Amino acid sequence: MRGGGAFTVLLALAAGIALTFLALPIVALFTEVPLRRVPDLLRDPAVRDAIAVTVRTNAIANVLIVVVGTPVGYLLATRAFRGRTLAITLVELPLVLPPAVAGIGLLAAFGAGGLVGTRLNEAGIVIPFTQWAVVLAVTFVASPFYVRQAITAFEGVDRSLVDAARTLGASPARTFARISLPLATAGLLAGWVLAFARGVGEFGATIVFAGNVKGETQTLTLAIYEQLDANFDLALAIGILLVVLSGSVLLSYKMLSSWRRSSSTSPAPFARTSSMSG
Amino acid sequence: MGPSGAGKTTVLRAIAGLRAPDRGRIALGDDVWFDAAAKVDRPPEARSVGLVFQEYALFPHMTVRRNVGFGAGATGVDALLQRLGIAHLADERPGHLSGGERQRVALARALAREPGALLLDEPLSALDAHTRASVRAHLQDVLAQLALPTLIVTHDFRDATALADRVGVIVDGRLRQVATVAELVRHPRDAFVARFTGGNVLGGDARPLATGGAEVLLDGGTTVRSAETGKGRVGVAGYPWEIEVATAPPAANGVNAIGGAIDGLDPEGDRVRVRVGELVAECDAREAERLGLRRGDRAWLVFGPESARLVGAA
Repeated sequence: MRGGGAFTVLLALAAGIALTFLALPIVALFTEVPLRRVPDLLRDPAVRDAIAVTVRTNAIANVLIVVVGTPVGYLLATRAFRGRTLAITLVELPLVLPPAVAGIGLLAAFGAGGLVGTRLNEAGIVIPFTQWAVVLAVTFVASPFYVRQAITAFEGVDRSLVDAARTLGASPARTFARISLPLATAGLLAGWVLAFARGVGEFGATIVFAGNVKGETQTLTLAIYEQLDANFDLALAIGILLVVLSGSVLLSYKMLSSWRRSSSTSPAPFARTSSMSG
Repeated sequence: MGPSGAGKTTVLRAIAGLRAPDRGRIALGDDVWFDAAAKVDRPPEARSVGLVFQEYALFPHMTVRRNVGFGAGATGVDALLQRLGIAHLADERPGHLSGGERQRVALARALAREPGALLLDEPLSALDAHTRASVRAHLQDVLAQLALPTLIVTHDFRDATALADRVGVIVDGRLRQVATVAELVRHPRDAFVARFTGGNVLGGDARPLATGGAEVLLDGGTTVRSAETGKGRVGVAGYPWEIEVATAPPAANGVNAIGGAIDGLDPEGDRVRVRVGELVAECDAREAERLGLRRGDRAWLVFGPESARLVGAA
């Protein structure tokens, strides 16, 4: 690089500080507990229960998010109707809502004596402090990550391709399945990665709405919280597990997106790994 | 044919069912696709129409064969690819094709359903100048073989002359004139049509002559004669290929001549367009060379009264 020496030093300094700050907690996780003890620690029944709860609840929540969120994203991206802006705002609300508020809101809605909770109770359905409460909490806080990305992905599909499919005799449903969906896949996948990461990391709404019951509603993040006083090394080990999970999800997404970049029209939510060429 | 923003594409979209007009009726023969009064509005997939989009709108995630075979009831895909000379591209993706190849694929895709009508939206505008001529010729051959009602939208008069039997000139959503190319040139209805078909239009004031025809005092000060009669404010429309270039004022009486310095000399193929003021004439390149035409030289543009058509005020 030519010229602007002092300015470049300033930029490098800022980058150095930021990167150190971001890397420090991750490095600390791996250095504060001897790594060879981690497999043993993770065999603890409390951890195994938490893994089971996390996997089960997140699997259901992710299916709900993708199955319901995809058509919602398509509708909001492709149709103009009254109240569309309001609908999008509502979809985005959980992004900025404090998770604890989401938790208490869910409690007020589905809890005993709540808005719909009373009726559910009469029908013999109890949601708060069960695994279904975890599922609802995760779905509530994580869905906007997917739906927002789905809207962007569907908006990115060239409108004339959809029109072309229609004039070629394809019904709206077939056009969606054969044109819009395949072309939006990369964007949808990116949205799902974000939603998945947010769901696995869910804490605030879950602890308020579902409590922290071991083997029932205690997810990995809640287990970290419980083990802070009881067994700090165990908490660290769970932390390592989650870092590895998040890291590999992000990395596999990036590899996937660079692999299929050529055939996709969706914008990428993460920076591309090889964008510095030229 | 019309300038951009005239509503050409909107007409095609309305016919294809991608846009509902406020009023009117669209039918192919006895098959009514749209009728505002009768509340008929068939969806695009229920209209027997093939639409070729301006940028071709090929599906990027499908091979050429699957693009062409996408249409409901698409038959004889490989035979069609063969006929359009793109069989060797069957397994390629659109991203790897040239503009001319894409155009053929889009055409094949629109034809695969055996539609009752074919719509082409600016079929040549996405191409660069040197592929344009060959694709135009190819399209001409294909359309001639098809014997299918075809509606082509273009802003280029040359595309219209090459491809169309009848031309409608549309401006601001209204049809100004519908006629054959020859008829458009012979009797342009107004100044816009005359200009759009390549003509010069000069403003002036007309006075009918007792001997027939009219005399027009042009805004530039010259008086010209027209074989057509007219009165008051008019436009005099003349086509470049009907105007001769001379280096001396014509001796013959009864012909029109507008003299002045040559402002522009634009070669176009084996022709040269010579501009004097607002008026453009076209002559053979060899003729231009023989006359020794140069920018700034004095020249006379000569045309007969029958080449000075009177149109509505410019």
